[in-house]
Amino acid sequence: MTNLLIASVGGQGGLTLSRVIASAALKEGKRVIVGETLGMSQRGGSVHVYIRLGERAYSPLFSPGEADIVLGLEPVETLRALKYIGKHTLVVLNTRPIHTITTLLGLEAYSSIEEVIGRIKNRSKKVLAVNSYEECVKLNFPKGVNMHVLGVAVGITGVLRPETIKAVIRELLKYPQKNLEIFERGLALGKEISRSIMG
Amino acid sequence: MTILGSEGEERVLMGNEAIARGVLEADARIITGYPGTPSSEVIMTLMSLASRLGIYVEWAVNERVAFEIAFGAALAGVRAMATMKAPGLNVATDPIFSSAYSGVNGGLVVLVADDPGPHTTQTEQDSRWYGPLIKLPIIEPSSPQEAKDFTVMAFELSEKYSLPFILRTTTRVNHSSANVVLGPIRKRHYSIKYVREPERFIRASMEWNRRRHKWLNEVLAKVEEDLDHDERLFSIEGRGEKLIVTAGVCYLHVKQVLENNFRDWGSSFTLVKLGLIYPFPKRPLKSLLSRKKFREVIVVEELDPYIEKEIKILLGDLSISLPVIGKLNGFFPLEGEYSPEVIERVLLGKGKSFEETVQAPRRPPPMCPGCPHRATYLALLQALRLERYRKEDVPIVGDIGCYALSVQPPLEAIWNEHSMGASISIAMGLKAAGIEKPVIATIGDSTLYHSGITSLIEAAHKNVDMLVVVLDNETVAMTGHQETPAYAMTLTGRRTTPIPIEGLIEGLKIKWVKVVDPYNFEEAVRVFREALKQKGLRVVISRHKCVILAKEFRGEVQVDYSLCTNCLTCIRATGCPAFAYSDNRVVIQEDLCNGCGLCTYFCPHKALRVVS
Repeated sequence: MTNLLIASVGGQGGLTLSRVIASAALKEGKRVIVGETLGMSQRGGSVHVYIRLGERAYSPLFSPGEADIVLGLEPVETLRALKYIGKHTLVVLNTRPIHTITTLLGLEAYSSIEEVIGRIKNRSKKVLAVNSYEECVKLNFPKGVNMHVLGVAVGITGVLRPETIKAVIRELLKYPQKNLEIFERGLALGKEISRSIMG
Repeated sequence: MTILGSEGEERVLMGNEAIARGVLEADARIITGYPGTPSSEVIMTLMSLASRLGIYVEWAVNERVAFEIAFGAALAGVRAMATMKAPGLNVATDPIFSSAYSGVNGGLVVLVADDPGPHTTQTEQDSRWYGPLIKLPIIEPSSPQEAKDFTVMAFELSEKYSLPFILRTTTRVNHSSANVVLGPIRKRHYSIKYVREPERFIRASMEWNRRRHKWLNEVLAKVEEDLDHDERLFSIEGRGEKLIVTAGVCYLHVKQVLENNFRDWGSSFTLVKLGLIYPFPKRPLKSLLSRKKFREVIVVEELDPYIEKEIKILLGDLSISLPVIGKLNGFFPLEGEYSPEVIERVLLGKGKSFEETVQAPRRPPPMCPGCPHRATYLALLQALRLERYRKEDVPIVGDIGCYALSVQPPLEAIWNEHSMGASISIAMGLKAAGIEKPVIATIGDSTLYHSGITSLIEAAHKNVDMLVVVLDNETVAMTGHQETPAYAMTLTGRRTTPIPIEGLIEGLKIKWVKVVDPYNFEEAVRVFREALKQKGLRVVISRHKCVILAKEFRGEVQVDYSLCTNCLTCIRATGCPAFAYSDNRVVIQEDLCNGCGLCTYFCPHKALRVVS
């Protein structure tokens, strides 16, 4: 069984990402169960998605420490998912912050990226901070963060086959070419990191 | 994901999509409801297929009307469904109570989606109590697959027993996605007719009512006798001496915890899953409890101790003394949503405690960048300030919808948000109690149509001295953009007669009614100031299309850093999430900014401007 957790802000494409993963899993003949936690707002709220893949996947929610892979589309949201991170968890983290109303108004401080990474590292050493947003802006597609982070995670873990994911992107997503390009970028980065760790 | 496909095909479907598929498999023809998270996707999924399949799928003005339409269809022999969230069921219960005495001809299913957590609901209502209260059968699925299967079953059973069936779900089933194997679509031959049977359908004779009550009790007894042991609704796994009784999504959590933590959990536990919630399956549980010696009974259910109380009654009847591990003795919480973690704490005897408290800044749900409600409340608050009212002296009553997010800083506008349509009448009560300063009710367009309109009739009739602001964003935004009665065409493509709010309230003869566009900000402030000076009932319709639908702001806001002093007034005044503060200066995140330009009204240095 593989447990993936998506930590994101509404509007970042966290739900789309979960649909891509679930559809790819179905294509590969895997059992899948997905649970979503979202609030009342249409945009800008916390959106967390729990995905279990494999034969013994039943519950749409996780126990503490149970996530195998965390796809962190936003730093503070990834921090909010801290309790699901265990020693073995791979965390891929997009470093670009999206402020909350309370941090914008100065009612509380937005945790610095160093602090976020530090606190995650207290639980797992396998933290990968990438500026996915910057990568996406370079390709003139700032909405592609979700596919970039997925690409990195798939490049490192092989949790799903890249070919299946690409097929799903073509079938499901609005801008397949841009999304494919971004996914490939992430994939290449993930593979490179994976090689450098192995080597 | 598409719900079309042949028998045996597998899809990953969300619980609500699976229910929609169940509707197709059962060949139900009339599906109606009122939007409410987490129930809305059933109708939203079916809407896209409605005209192709020739079925009636439409939102109704409120849940009560939705139920009555579905009930009427079922009287004519057509399978029908009404969908709603838990508070919506409260709106619909008056006719549902009576429908239990009449019964139906075609299968009638009421989908009610409860929200343990709660995630998006004003209360953690446990609608299972409506079973014994209304006297209608309730079944509850645990997974998307069961959500589909139980929907089909509910239609069949409803028809078999001539009784409406309630399909009760929780957020975690409605909004989970999982593999679902499609079943056959069984096209039915409908002969549509409605026969006059006064004793069944008229509730004006008390003698008939008494007789129908007896009939209802007899049918419920038959439902219990036939279904309590139906293996689709009652399953037993394992053979251990600790008995777990559960239902709904809690079954999946329990199963996950057992699978993850025990090599052979069946030797220690016996796991019973209930699908029939009312009438309660007493007989098979009694038989299980009396033929096997258990050490304890563990009841895992969210919200109220409904199953637990039934189990305690059974144990009493059997004179069996067994510890019942549940909510009544404090093992499980009475509030909130359950997760594997909650169950581990009890089943494993110890909590896998999470030592580190997460100190992440809160992310309260914000209004979107470009949300017209932000502009309306800012104009209203500005008008109060200019008219020299202190914010803390003028109650602003809110209602159900995105505009309730105005409670968050920096607006901190509404004082009260209660239930659909309540704002106007609550404001009336405040005024009647003797509040001398202005009292303001704020209500959305759909909420006004839903039930606020009856309060507005009351306020107009009594000419109450208050201001009613209708925040008209021309959609039901919060639940995912459904249409309102102001539309000339529904989302299924049905041509309709639009009923604009001005036309709707014309007959109320309210003397002072104004329409403003909150993005014409200075004008909006002027109108609100004028409204505050008047006496009697005043209505301001503040109209601007929801930014997610409108997309008409094509520009973007830019900061002129030669003028910006970093005073942060723009952020403090609007709280717009498109702002960020980085490298010690105000930044506008272009991927979030919708270019509405509201912030430009507040910059004291004229450093913000809209560029197209």
